[in-house]
Amino acid sequence: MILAALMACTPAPLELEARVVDGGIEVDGSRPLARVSIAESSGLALGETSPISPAETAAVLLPVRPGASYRVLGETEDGVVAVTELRVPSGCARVELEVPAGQSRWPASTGAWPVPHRDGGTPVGLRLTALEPCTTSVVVDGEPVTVELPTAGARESVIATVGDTAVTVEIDDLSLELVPDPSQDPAADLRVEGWTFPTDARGGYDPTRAADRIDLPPRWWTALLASSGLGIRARHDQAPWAWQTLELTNDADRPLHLVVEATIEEEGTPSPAFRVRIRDHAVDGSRALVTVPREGRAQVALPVYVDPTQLTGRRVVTRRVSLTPLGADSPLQTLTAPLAVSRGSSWATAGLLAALAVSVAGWLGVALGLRGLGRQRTSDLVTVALFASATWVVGAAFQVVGTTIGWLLGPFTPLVMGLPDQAFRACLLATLLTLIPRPGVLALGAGVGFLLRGLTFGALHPTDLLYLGSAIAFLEGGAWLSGLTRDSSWRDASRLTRWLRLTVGLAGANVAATAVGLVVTATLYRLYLAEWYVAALLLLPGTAYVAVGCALAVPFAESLREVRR
Amino acid sequence: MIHAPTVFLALLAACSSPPPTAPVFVRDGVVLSRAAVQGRTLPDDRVLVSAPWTPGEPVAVAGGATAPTTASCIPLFHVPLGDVSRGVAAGGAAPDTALAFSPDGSWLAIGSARGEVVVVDAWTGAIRWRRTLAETLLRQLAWAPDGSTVYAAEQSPDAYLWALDAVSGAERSRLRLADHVETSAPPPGDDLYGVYTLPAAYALKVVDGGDLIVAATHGWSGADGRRLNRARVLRLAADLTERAAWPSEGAADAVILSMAVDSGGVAVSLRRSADGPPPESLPINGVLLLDARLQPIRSERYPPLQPHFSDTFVWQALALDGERLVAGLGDGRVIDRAPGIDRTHPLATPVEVGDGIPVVASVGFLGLAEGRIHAVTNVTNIPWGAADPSLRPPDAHPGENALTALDADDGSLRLAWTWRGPHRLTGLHLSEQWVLVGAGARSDARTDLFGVLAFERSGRGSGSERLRAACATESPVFYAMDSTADGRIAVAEHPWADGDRVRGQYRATVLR
Repeated sequence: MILAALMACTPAPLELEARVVDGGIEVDGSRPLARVSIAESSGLALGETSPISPAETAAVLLPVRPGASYRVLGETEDGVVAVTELRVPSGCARVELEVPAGQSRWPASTGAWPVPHRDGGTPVGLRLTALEPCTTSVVVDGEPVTVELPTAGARESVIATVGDTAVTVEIDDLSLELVPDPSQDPAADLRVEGWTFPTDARGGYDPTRAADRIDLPPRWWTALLASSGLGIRARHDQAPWAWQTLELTNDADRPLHLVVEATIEEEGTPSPAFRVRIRDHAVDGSRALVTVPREGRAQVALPVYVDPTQLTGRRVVTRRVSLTPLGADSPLQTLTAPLAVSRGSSWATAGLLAALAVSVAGWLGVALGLRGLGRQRTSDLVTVALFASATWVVGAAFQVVGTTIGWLLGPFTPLVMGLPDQAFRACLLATLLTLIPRPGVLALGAGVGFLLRGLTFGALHPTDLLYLGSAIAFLEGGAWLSGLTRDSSWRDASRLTRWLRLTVGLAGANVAATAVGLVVTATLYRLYLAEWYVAALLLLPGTAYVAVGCALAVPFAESLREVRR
Repeated sequence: MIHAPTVFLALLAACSSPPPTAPVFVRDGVVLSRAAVQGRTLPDDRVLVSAPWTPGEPVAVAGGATAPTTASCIPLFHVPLGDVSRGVAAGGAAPDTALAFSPDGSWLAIGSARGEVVVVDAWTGAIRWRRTLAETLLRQLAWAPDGSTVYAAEQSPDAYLWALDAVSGAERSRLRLADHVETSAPPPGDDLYGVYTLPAAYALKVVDGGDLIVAATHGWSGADGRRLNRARVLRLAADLTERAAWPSEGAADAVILSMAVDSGGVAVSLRRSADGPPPESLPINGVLLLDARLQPIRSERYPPLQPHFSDTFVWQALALDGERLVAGLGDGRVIDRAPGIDRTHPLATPVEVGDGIPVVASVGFLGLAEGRIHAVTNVTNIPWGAADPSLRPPDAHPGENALTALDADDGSLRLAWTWRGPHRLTGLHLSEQWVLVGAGARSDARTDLFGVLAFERSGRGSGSERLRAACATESPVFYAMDSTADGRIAVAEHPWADGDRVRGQYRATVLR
């Protein structure tokens, strides 16, 4: 145990690596550093830092002298200490290299530096930062360039272009050889793992919008809202409509600094409808700088701007993204994808207006019908209430079940749970209509059911006025058009005829009511569902399940009528 | 008999180190344990003793300890300002925060991006009062010269300017700036930058005699999508009644980016983003100089730096000293003008690197003290007007991310000193003794480079030699800061996104 305790007291060793940076000396520790101090070789303390949280890299800010030697002491939180020496080159300026220019910066040291090959030459950045005021010379392939550095901290950059042959660079006592190396190919190391549209600014998929398409409201709708003062605040002209996000992977052993540039093009040229407005200047595309860490991944989200005033009708444009290393003049990769653009569905808006009109008609019918309610036979009213209550009970039960298994079925819940729910509902309504084939019966049943649902589940919403009014109108209209409420003789027809009439009347009404719901979600909530999903909703819960319910209702109603007789 | 667990615990205890008791050398002072000497007691019970010291020399009050080369900083207290992590996680910018010490340095007023105004004891952080203003962002704060009133300016649909009792926080009076520059509807909640399209006071200064100068501005898109601008400068009495205004009737068709005030006048930098042609009479993208009664004196227009720019702008880099007007421009120039004087320094103007590719660093912040200009440059970008918009910055601009001091030398501006370091510089505050520069959010994972850097304003030496203290904070700081004559510095720390995580806190911190 004592041995174990002694071993527990033995911390891991600490190794230090120090270098001169802007403003002082930076130290990397093999373990997080709690304190770093710098002293002259004579031992005179010059400065120290204690990061608030131990850090693997810490900077001590102090004046650094050319040719000086420094004693660097690092200490971990558990008291492990390490010391290293840092000798500063005698040149008056600190020299750093970017190979190629724009990529990661490295302290320059005498020797050969491999340079990736590019057509037309590869620019290599040489950055000089003064440690003390001086005038120095950068000699590139024998051609001297004089660099004035008037004060400590002053900085100048020089670019050396490396073609097919090596380039020598001499700065003070540094001698560099920039050697072209065709084996270095960043393109082979860069992979695009994903490209998603639309996303939010953090790169997360935006499920509220259709993938790979832009849907805009109709012009007249926008104009109506603007002129009436209704609607939400206008989108800021410098706010993106959405974002597109790339997932990048770098297999190389050094970071890759990229410019990611995105444009939206039409017939091969950037479309003016998608120009980027920043600081009141419009440019063709959006750009972002991204560093893909060595052997790592990076995500970059680029804004997509839309000028709705320049878009009419439907069209397909092209999203184009190019990935270019910083400083290079040609991209490593270029990606394209189609982007569908449409003005918001005028059909949906027209559908909403039609639904509003139908709903008003439905409520007018209710208002007119209420006057005759007192003349109805009590037994009929009780029957209607009984069936409406049964409808509510069935609906509530399936709502509870549907909520419970909704986590498993997700968007398919209405398609699956709609079968028992809609079938039973239709069965009860069809039976009720068979027993009392008069106008107003369905309206009364729907109203009672609505009130019961609202009172028990608290599901009352202003749009329910639209839903209920239109549902009443559709039910009563469907029943009247299919002859269910015009006379009662159809009850004595064949089973097939009765089923057909009930199915036409109730399914037609149900399809229309489902369509109203879809139109409302599209126009008021901007929720656009996939076309196949819309079709499935209209065909299955809207029609087929109701037909099943009507099929069940025919013999059931027949037996009830027998009992009544 | 030695009990094995006792030995085990004793060995473990031996692994831990005792708490530090060494004196802490701060700027012009030493922080000691309570028992040592008399001085100002700090919230952690240590004592701050005012004692100027010289690097490398023993300091008597510190028990003869040798003074270090650079001073340390200690945080006196933090004031939590709420949770802004949602906006940070969504990619939003640093939350705007206003900070102002009372004239005697006893109190600190804090205005947050969440609409709170807090007044705290400026030595202990004890809250005097805290008040939340509804649905707003606090844009500016100022104290009345006698310390009796705190003025707080909103960015909100109403853009109220409040005069609040400094003792209780009770409202004394308020002025609706939207009555001067119009109002607009609140933006959708998910619009990270929508708040900046609401009317606001973009600058608020208290001048001699207790009057306020307010720069109200508003740039927004109307219901029909048209871009609109309104701006007005107001001179108000202490009770917020109007004494003078520019324009005297109505608002100008422009926005105000920044304002500089001295005893004799007011300078406002103007920009315009509205649709339609700009008014000929206004120095758009330039600076308008007004007298104390807000009557225009002169306009300074800055010709675009051809061929790389088609226009330019002055953001926070504006200073006024009598008739001398100094502006740091978006194209990297520092322009120093007065009647008969026109000096320009190409601090970070476009330079061509590689195959004729221009890079530029804009002048983000600028101040003027005893004739010397101090300027902070931003990081490198490519001019928007560059001939080929697909060009990329192949190399950092030599003048980027630096603090630079310039002296006027006859007809030119001469480099006095410069400093650059690993920090990402943001903000500039000049006090009697110090040049303070903030260290803000970074694009890498370093967490040891947040805080404030304090440079000696006077004396000689290079930038590194002037750096007296690097005051570290846990989180990046917002560009606005304030200080007291005795060396306390107030900054606002804010969270930052570290990959998918949001780290750090939104809080005000006072450092000494």
